[in-house]
Parts: sequence; structure tokens; C-alpha cells
Amino acid sequence: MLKKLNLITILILIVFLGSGNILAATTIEIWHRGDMAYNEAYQEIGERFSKKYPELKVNFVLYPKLEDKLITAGMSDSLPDAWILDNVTTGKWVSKGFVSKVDRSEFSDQIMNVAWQTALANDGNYYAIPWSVQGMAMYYRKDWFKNLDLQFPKTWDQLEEAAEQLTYNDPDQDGKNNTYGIALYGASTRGYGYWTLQNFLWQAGGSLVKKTASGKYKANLDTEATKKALKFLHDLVYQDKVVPPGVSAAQSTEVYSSFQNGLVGMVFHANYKNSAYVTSLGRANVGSAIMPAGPAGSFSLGEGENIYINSDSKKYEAVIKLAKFMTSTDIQKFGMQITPSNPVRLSVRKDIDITKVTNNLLDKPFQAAFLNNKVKYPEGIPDYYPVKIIAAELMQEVFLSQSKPDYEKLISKYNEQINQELSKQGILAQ
Amino acid sequence: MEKIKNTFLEHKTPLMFVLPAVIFFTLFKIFPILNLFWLSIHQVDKDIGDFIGFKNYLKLIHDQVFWLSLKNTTIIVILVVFFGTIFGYLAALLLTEDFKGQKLFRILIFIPVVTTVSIIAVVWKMMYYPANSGMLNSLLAYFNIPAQQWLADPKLALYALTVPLIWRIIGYNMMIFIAALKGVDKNQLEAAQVEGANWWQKLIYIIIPATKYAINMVLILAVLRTYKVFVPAYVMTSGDPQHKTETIATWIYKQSFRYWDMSYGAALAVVLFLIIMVLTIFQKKFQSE
Repeated sequence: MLKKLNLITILILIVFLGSGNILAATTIEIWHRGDMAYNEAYQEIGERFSKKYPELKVNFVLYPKLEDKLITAGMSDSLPDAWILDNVTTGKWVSKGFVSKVDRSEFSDQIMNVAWQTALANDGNYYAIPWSVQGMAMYYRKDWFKNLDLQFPKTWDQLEEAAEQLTYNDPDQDGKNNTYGIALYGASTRGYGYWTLQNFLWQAGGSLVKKTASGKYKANLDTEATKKALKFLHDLVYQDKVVPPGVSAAQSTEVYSSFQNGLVGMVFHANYKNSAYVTSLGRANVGSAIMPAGPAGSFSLGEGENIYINSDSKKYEAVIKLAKFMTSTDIQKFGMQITPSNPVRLSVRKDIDITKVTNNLLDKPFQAAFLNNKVKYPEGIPDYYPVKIIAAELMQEVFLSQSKPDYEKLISKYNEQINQELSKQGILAQ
Repeated sequence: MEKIKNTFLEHKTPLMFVLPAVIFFTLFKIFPILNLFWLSIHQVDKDIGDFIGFKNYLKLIHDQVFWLSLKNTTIIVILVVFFGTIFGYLAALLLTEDFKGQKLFRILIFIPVVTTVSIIAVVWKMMYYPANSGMLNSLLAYFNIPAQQWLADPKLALYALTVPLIWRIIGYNMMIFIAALKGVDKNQLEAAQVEGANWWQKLIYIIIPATKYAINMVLILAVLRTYKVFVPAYVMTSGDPQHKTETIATWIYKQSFRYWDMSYGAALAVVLFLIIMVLTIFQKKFQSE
């Protein structure tokens, strides 16, 4: 009797443990950042996926400080099967050996090439699946422009002129001198100043880093274009005085709130503040447009999020299946429609017209920038973060200099710093 | 061996009482410190890799931001300890007197201590808003003083960051001093009064010597806590502008979690630990003398 009981117990244990393994094998754990509203959107995507593939379940877990969490999880071998994070981090994951290769040909050919480029590493392989893209464009106060009978600027000269008018001609017609033309990012924290410099540098025809014929990289600040961009930005602050005080410490929060609270007439970033701006300022009073063109054109910085697969995950195929599902037309549309926390800013697919999906004309210029190749992504070096910080520090130093900065000296100093960083990463061209 | 066994059996009960605390302390204090040192001498990527010796400590010597952060943190510590102690003591002296509303004032001064640090940092950041409409700048405008870029001006930022730290610690220090002041011998004070001693003489010759242990404790705690300052510094400035408000703790965080150099971050943390340890030893030695 006792023997039989033992046998039954063992059998139950085997079945229980076995079923546990099966369950674990079919549940994909995927981490993302944002807030609870984003998490709800992801949960909905997970449920739709499980409806289509009943044998697979997805557990989307929210971590507001996802990068920090991934680093510590990586060190303690507790990374999830996949995670969704900024596409600028690709090089970092690849160099640390955190992520698996991806076969691009398995995915829809409707995914934009520019989006795939953010998943491309120096070895020519792809290490992520593009999930969402975003490019910067300009938000502006339509009512202020109308009050001053101004057209939205198309060039740098016109931008300067418009910013002056918005600063000095009382665009809000309250009889007070309490407005500014444009808000700029200047803090070096998390590289905010880089947002300003990178956009204007590309528009001036320059870049922070350039790839050489050897496949390696060199700092590229020592050009006339850099000087032109820095001078233009410094003039906006100190000569024209069209930027609100405190620019050297301005992070995104300060910049967004300055537009939302009616302090400035123009601000640039990706299309994630539509509903906040429309709610605060009124639908009729907010406009958006592609960035005014500098000497080289109207370029802006591209960002976005990719799906990265843990190199140690045993559920690679299941994650690929999920990624294919997430990049399908239906889910990309769904991801854009949830407001205000839409996990897909702009679809990575070229066959989706965002304005037809979101029914918001403010989105149009953001997509137009992508479709007209106005959006650029930084060079795919292993770790872009230090370069971003160096660029932000350069921008901040320029913004801190009340008198005319010694541009040559500054450029030379920061060019050297970028080269040192490239050398540290083992990719400096001789 | 027999002797050890006997000693153990003799002290079995007290040993069993302290054992949980020893285990807890070893697991959560000693082990992380040792692990930190272990990390600092190894390459850390996804796994703990090759032994790199004291490479990170040599790197630290040439790291200009580290030295700047050490200088900034020391300035913050000096200012917070000095003003926090003086204002805390003054507040305690005033609020041990009996008057209407005494309890309300005590609560008002103590509120910052129980308020979340990050909230305090966000509120002060808003008060420092650099436009003319900023709260402090509006106040300056009332006195015809031009608006200041509190957290953006490299000459001002560190001091602007220190003010909320001082403001917060005053309430904490005040409570310790109030408890100490209650223990001052009233007979002694009355005798001094009869002898014609004024308020200042009573303070210098009776009250301060009677509360010196509380003063010592406040000084040690303030130094220990302030050297590790992170949240207000990270929320308000994150080291900006140009690392002028970088503290050792923010630099450790950036190296570990932004630059992903966990090994170097660990080396910086070991140095911070050593600084605090040496300071505490010196302080205790100095005070016992």
C-alpha cells in the first residue's frame, strides 16, 4: 500500500514539474518601460497574440528604469526573454553580448529600411526588430503666428526672424513682454543638449562622427558646418535673445512645459505630446511642421524602440513569432491608436498612413519627415551614449558662454574627446 | 578546543541573542562591501570577467570629474554640517521655550524630514525656475534684483543645490538637540541666573557643554549622510552645469548605469566608503580627545 502511495506521489510530482516546464516554455517574458498606461496597451497586445497563438502567452512587465534593471539583471543571469528599448542602445547590447541575431528576411519587406538600420551592428548583422520609430519635427503656436501674420519658417534665416517676432511683438496679445521664440535643450544630463546640437549640425551639413573607408570611425566636429551650427544656436540665445533663460540646464520637462504653458512659440521633439499640447492650448492653436532647413537641408534626429532578444533565451522562436505579430499592420495600427500612451509613435511600416490611423493632422509632418528621408539616425558605433554626452557637454558649454565663444578651441577640444572615446571602443580610424 | 567549547557553552544564551543580528549584518552589510571590492578589481560585462587588478583605481586618479565631484561633495558636506547644526541648534533653543504655537513651529520645521527627498527636490527645482516668473526670481524682482539662473549658473548651482539639503536637515538636528536640551540641569541654570550670568554666558558655559554629546552625534550623522548625497543632486541638476554639481554618488551612478562601467562604479563606491570610514574614525578620535 505504502509502495503504491509513494509511486502515485512520484507520478504526481513528475506530472506537476513537467507541466510547470511546459508552462514556462510557452510564456514569453518581455520587459518594457513607460507607465501603467503603456503597460495596459502592451497587455492588450499580449492578449491578442495569445488569442492567435493559444499555445503562447506573453507577460509584459513594466520597468520605468528599464536600462538600470537590465544591467543588474544581466549580471545576475535573470534577463527576460526580450525587452523593448531605445534603438540607440543596439551597439551597447551587442558589444556586451546580451542579444541574439535576427534574420531580417523573415520579416515583412514593408518595414522601413531606415528602421532596420537601427538594429544593424558593425559586423553587418541585425540584432533587433524595429517596433516603433519617431523623428523630431517642430510644434508651433498657430494662433501666435496668425496674430503676427507670420508663415512657419522654412529656413534658418526665417526661423531666426520668426523667433524674434514671437519674442518681441507680443504674439499672445496680452500687452506683456512675456514670450520667447523657441525653446532649446541645453542640459548635458542624459544628453539633452545633444538633441539640439545633432539636429542643427545635420541641418548645417556636419556630423559628430563619420565612418571612414576602413569601416572605422573618426570624430567629425572640426568642420565649418559645426561652427555654423554652434554660432547659429549661440546667436539665438545671446544675440537675438529669443530663447527662455536657463537654456544651459534645460531638459525635456522644462522645454515641453515652456511650450505647454505659453512661454515659447516653437519647440522640437517627436510626436508624443499631441494630446497634452492640444488639451492645454486648444486644437486650433497648435501646429506642427518639419524642421526649418539649414544650409544642408531640413534634417532631424530619429529615435525609436526595438525589440531585443536575450541571447540566452530558450524561447527565441516564440519571440520571433511575437515580433512578427507586433510588426504586422494590425498591431502597428493598434499601437499608434492608443492615446496618449501610444507604444508605437510612428509605425515602422511604410504601408501605413499615420494620419488615417490616428486621425490627427499634427502627426503628418512627423511621418513626412521619415518618408522624405529627412530623418537621420546616429552612426552605429558600439556605444553611442558617451558620444551623446560629449556632444551635450559641448552644447552646454556654448550655451554657458555669454560672450562669443572661441569656436575653434571648443571644437578642437570636443573633437579630441570624441576621438578618445572612439579609440576606447576600438573603432577609431587612423 | 575544549576551552573554546566551554566558553561557547558559558555564553550560549547571549551568543544566540546576537546571532541573528550578526547574520543579518554579515549578509546585508559586510558581504556587499566585500562584493563591491571584488567587482572593482574585475572586468564586469554580462558576467564577472577577468581580473584587472587596481586598473580602476589608477583610472580614478586621472578622472578629473571624480576629483571635481569629491570637491563638490566636500563643499556640500561642510555647508550642510555647519549651517544645519547651527540652525538646528538655534531652532531647538527657541523651541524649548514655552510660548503659544511652539508645537506648530516644531512640526513645521520637522515636516521636511518626513517628506520624500525626491518630492523636496522637485519642489525646490520649481522654485528655482530660471524665468522671471520663477518663484524665487519673482521675489528678487520685488527687490529690483535681476533674475538668477539658479541651477544653470556654474557659480551658483552648487550653493543652490545645498540650500534644500540644509533646510531639510535642520528639523532632524533640531529634534536631537531638543531632546538633549531637556536634559540640561535646571538648577545649574538657575544658579547661574542668580550669579548674574547673561543668556550668552549660560549658553557657552552650561548649555553647550551639557549637550556636547548630542552635538557630536549630529556632526557624525550629518557628515555620514551628506557624503552619500544622491537623490536631490540627481533630481535637481544631475551634475549640471559642466559637472559643477556632480557629487560622488551621482558620478558612481552615472558610471555604473549610464556608461555601463559597473567595475569602475564599484571602485568609486569603494573610495567613497573609505572616505566616510576614515572621516568617522578621525571624528570619533577627535571627539573622544
